[in-house]
Amino acid sequence: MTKRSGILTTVLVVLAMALSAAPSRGATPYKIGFSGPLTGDGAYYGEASKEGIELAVEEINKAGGIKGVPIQVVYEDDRNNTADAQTVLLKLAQIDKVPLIIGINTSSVTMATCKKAQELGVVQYSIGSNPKIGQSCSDYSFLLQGNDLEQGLEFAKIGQSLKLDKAVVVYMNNDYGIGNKNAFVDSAKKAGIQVLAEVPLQPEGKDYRTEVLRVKSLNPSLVAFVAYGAEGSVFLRQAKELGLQAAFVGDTNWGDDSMWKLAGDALVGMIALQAGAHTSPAYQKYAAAFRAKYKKDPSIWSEYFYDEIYLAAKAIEMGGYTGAGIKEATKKICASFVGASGPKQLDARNYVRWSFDWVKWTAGGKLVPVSK
Amino acid sequence: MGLSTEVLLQLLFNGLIAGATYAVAAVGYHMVYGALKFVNFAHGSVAVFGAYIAWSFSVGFLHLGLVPASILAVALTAGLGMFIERVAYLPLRNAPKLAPMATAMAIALMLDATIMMVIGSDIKRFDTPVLRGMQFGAILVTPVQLAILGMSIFFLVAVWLLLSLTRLGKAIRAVADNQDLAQACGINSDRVISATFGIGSALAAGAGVLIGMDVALHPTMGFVIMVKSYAAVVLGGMGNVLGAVIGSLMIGLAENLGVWVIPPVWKDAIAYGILIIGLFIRPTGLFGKKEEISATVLGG
Repeated sequence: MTKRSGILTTVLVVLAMALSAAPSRGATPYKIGFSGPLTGDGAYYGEASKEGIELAVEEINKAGGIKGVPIQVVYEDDRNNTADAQTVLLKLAQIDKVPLIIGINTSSVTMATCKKAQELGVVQYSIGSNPKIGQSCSDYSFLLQGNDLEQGLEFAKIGQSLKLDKAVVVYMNNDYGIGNKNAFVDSAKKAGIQVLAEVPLQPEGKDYRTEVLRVKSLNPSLVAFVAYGAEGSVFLRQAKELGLQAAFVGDTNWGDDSMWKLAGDALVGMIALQAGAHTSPAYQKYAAAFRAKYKKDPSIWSEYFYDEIYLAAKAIEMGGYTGAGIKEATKKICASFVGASGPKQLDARNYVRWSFDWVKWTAGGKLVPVSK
Repeated sequence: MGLSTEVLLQLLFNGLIAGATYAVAAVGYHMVYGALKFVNFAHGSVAVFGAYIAWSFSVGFLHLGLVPASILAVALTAGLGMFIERVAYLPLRNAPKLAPMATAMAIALMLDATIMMVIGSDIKRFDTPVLRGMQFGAILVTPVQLAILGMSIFFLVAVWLLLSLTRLGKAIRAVADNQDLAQACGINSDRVISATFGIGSALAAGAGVLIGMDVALHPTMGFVIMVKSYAAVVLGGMGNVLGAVIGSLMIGLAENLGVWVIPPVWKDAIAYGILIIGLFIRPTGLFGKKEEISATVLGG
């Protein structure tokens, strides 16, 4: 054997050994795409999403995965930005070849990507809640938090219950905020609540004093507040500084303990909607596992994404690892699925039917239940 | 919507506070511009970096008080500014002006990314209390706003004294006026430019802390600080510190009053609107000299 053929033989033997040691095709993980805000103003939500996802992935893989095959999440940062989200969708669908994308945080991102996702045969699990999503997206998009029409209606119910009849609605100037604002305005009119003004908050703003003064000058008894944590906390702090005295009713963003870190004392007195089912056995089991893993209380956002992974695993198991299969399986599974964030029965447009608890912020950052 | 006197006064006061924070950043920006005559895209990011250093010392890790943390941050950011000037801009002293501008963009991105990697990209706040403001006539003023106003005045007076009364200040003005002539007169212009970057960066850090106290901190907020500083300096007139201060106050006031009548989506665009209208009426800016006109846009 010449020296050259000796080297060649050694290389081939090593290559053969390496190939034989590689996992079989069956053990290749099922990849699930994640498109969410890991940086930027929405990073808080993205990080909370990731914590819920990692906990569920760990539990499922420890229990043997999907028929012995583990699941793996491919994380991509869309910064809650519609242009970035489209790039992320193409990358996940065409390079990573995932049939399912989870983690989508906003209505804007869902609406900007849903048609392309359907073309690519990719299912989306989103917590976008704008009523227009159901009209503009196909049944490849599952809206696993609920429909803002129900949230707007709930705001009006709180106003009626507290006998507050002069309202201003303060909302994020994006698809999420506008959807909620419209729903509230419609419901408020029907409930006999006068809407004095609609005040938009520009996303990523850092100073809302003029907007606060606008609200204050109208002297409302109720402020319906539809805002993300970053922008909303600035508004709330400045509202307190400028002496705006009105009852605030916050959307589901504000029913989460972690908002205290952002807005502090400015939250005291606010009534917020809480969308989960925090007394259910499913939530208690999840919360205990979350505390054990992360040594802290879970954010309300983590539970939605924890559930998305369990739903995804069941859908892949039932429908196979294709977009069409996952879509059909998700519809069937949701009919009876009860997760940490509550039941997931869908309406005709793939929105989860929403139910709310009312909670109130008290001194020291505690949320206490409010009877309806 | 009707605007009562009470609301108008409050809007004017809020605008004054915003303008005062912009002024500190703009004066630092003006000094750096004076030294090297290029649009320093990194100025806002240096401001935010300094603010995050203060946040790290006061809230994040060491839990020093806000005042000692801010003093440390201002000093460290001055050093950072001098370091950046030494490694990034000094080698490009004789290159076309686009080269340091592109370098500044890269530095801005690197500083933003460093904050995101080390501290995170979510919003941070200083531990300033959220209190209802004290009533002064028709105006509500919070202790934090008073502190911001006081610190802004302190920074601006300190710079004015430095530039007017010290040898270094005279050297900085000489280099800004004509670098070659200053060198010929025995001034070590490289050393003066380095000191200018240090002082400009210290002012940026001061502005970053003030903005963080007033609203909140976010790693990418530097861009808006930079463009507002730039707009204030051009509006006030290149080559005039007082112009930068007045330009800043005009922008702060216009933003706060403007959002009362136009949608808030236009808020950050108001600075540019004023700039365009101002330059249309008076191309040299409010207090600028004629020879600075050609340098106004790209530092040519």
